[in-house]
Amino acid sequence: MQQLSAFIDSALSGVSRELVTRHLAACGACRDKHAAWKAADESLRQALAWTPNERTLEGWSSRVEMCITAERKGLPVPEFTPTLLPVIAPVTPTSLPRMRELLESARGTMFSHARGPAAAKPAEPSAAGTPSEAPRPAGQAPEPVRASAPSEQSEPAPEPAHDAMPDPPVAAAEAEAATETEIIAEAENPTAQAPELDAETAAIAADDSASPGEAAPLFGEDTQAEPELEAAGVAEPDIEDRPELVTEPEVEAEPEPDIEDRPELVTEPEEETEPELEPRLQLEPVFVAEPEAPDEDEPEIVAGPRLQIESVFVPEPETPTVPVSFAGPRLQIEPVFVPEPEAPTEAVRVSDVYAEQQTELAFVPEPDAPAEPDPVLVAEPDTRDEPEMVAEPETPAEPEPVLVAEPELQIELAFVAEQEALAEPVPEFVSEPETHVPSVSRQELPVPTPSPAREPEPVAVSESRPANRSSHATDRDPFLLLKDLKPLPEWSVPELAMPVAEGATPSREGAHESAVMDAKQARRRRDIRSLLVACSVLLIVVLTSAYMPEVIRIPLPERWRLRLPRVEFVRRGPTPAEDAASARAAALRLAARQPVVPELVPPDPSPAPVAPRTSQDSAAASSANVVTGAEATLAPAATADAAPTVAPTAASGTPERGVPATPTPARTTLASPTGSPAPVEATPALVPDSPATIIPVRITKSVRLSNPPARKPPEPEGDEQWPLLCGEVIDSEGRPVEGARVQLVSFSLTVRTDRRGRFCVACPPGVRSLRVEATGLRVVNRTVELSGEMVETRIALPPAR
Amino acid sequence: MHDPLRRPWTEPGRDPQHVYDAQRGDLAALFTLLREYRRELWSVCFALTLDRTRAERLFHETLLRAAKNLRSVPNGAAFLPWLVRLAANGATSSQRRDPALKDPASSDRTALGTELTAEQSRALHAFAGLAGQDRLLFALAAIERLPYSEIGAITRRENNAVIHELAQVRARLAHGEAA
Repeated sequence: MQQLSAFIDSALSGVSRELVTRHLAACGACRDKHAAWKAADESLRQALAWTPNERTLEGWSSRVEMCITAERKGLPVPEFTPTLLPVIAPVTPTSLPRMRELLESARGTMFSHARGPAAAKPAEPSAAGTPSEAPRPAGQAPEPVRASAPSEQSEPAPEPAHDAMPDPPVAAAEAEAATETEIIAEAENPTAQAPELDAETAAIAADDSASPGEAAPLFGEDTQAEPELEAAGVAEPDIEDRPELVTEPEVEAEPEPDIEDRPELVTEPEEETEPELEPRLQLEPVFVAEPEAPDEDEPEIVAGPRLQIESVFVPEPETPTVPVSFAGPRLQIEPVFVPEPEAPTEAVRVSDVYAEQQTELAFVPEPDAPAEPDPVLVAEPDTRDEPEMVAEPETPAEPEPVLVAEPELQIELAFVAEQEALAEPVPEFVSEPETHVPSVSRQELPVPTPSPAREPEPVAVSESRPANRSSHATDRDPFLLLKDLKPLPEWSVPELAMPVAEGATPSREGAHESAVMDAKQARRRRDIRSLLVACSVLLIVVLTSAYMPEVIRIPLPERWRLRLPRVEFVRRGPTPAEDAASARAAALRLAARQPVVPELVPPDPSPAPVAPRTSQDSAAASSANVVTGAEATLAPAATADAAPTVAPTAASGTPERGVPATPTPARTTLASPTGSPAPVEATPALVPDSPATIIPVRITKSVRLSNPPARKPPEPEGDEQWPLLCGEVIDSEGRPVEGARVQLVSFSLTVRTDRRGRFCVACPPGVRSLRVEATGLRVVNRTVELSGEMVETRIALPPAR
Repeated sequence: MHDPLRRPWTEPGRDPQHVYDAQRGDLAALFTLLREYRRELWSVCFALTLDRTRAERLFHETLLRAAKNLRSVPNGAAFLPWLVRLAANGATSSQRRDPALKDPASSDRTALGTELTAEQSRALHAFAGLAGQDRLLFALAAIERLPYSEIGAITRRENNAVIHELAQVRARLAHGEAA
């Protein structure tokens, strides 16, 4: 499949391409797949072949450059994308008639502008935000409708998806007149703008006059549309004056910077991205509660949350005691303070302040707000739950229910537990084997179910409270109450736990502990057993060590060169001199050992280092051998240089090759530390059981090169000129043989026949031999002469005997 | 469409110098960069969005984002692969924000602006069902006809991975067409 894909992309060459070609010639399924893939490629290539012309591209580039230039110069960035990102704002049914009226008036104004008499300068926009009379020169289109109404508008107006452009040619003329310098100049002087319609008018105009599908494409290929864009850029220099809801999309719809600005390709998750919107929607109350400080840095606030916020701003007349804009939070706070008939003076004061500043709170963003304590802060829902708010000093009659009741409850609990524990005889509990008292901790106090006799106490205390207090107290988490309790003394813990353990059958904890104990005992028994086994093994080893042989032979494979360190058991006590003597004796013993099966090097034709001829040389060589052999175990690296070719025996004095060394003990010399040989006689009685003798040998490797092979005639480079050898394999009855193996003997290339018994293979021209075999049929060898472009053959396989 | 006479996408050319100048505030160098590759960028945007309007928006946003994040262009590297990756990430992000953009039904002939044959419509529908990365891969290979080595350099993949994924994309396309 990959090769087929690469073949379509023309990424194959040479033999790979040829093989795929042949495979396609032989395989029908792959041929179909190839055709389908190629057709899909071609279809998509044609469908996506549209490219804008140079003029359009130039327009886009200019727009981008304008934006970048304005941004670099600190000027307001002309907006082009907002028109492509329409903001969908909620439109209530009640506002529709008014919007339609505004639309009609706006339409009339716009057309009157377009057809009206020429005017030198556009008029200033009216203060009320209504469509103003903006006389324009003849042939000049009015400025596009912009949703730049002030934010005091109750209904957020949707930004028009496409500007209302009644007369495209006029707009084109206007766009041609607009230059970049004008844009910048207008951006610097926002007062010289063209008249603007208010947001509602813009919304209606966008809604009625230009549906998204019918509007002229903003960045389309149409040359008439581009000037409109230019005009849009001119008419939109003042972004800061636009309502926040309109301008936010451009800021907040900024794509995730960590994803988009990354130059690395980000893998796309399948479906996990959708839940991202869920938590943001859940965060709406946060935005609602603080409308004056919206979080503009929120990266992914889409139209949804903002629309929700807007809906909160709509005044709701059915909220009776609620100020205009902060209805939600205050409604939640009121029940905390109001139901108290004997409310403290401070609460009254809070209410008064609250009532006095209702009007101001409706428009909180005013910077000149009074410096008095902000009632909103006082009435924050968070501070409502603080105990200081409830436990006011002005309420002497009503003690704080929570703080007062909890110690009482605690004391009662402790007292009752103590009394019960004292009333029952302690020895009985001690004698119970099933109870495991120490396992109960203080944290488990609220968890165990109290006995029926002890149950009423906390309930009675809570029931004695007033209704409102009890509701307030029971709202709290019982664990919070218990957290506030003073810690019980240590001595009271077991007594509290005893009745629980006694009242019920062996608890689950007791069973668990017994199981744990059993497991511990079993583990201990196992440990003891393993320790005993280890000790016995060690004892056996120590006892049998006296009867162990000196050498333990372990046969190893030839190629396995196991290098184990030599272990020596050294007694303590001898002096260093004795140590040296014993080491020397050990070296002598080691040198006199008999070889096991010495492997001698076969005769080497290559010149090798000459063996010593003279007796002195022989002695030196033997001494070198011995030294080498003795040191082999101590310093193996030192043996390489000093090793002679053969190991002469002391008895014969001549090297014997290919014959295993006789068990006769060798006469060895040991090199003294000073370098002078020190002859030492090695008696046979000393080495009866030391069969190992190290015979240093030199192994030389020689590589003999044979004659260079006869050169084959050069074959053509590449396979473009190779002829195709195609054929058909049939059986004796003329039926095609599927899956027959056709092998080019000289090329070691094998193909198999298809359903029709056909095969096709390319190979250099010449006489080639084929070997055809199939299951149940005899093997046939055929010689074929390849020439030209294609050779066809037919091979019949006789049945097997 | 890929112009064989044009220099490869991954060849730096004079890009590093332009990038260097642009990073130091030279607007002319920046505009030169943005203008030089606008056609290639458009092709990628169009293939990624399958919609003219969205492609224009993506084109616009990509160029603005490129101007803003010019400092992250790798030193000495070609500018176009970086730009293409930026566009691909932008398309992915847009689809994350608006899952409706993944809807294959949104890619019709009106969005493409051309009359499509039935076969083209089928192929386009299947193509719209692919993920953004697959679209980019296919667009670079089949539409732009870039060699695999360049595709690998742009998408930061090995050649074998490109071959493998392209084959899978084609198989998915055929499957989508058949469906």
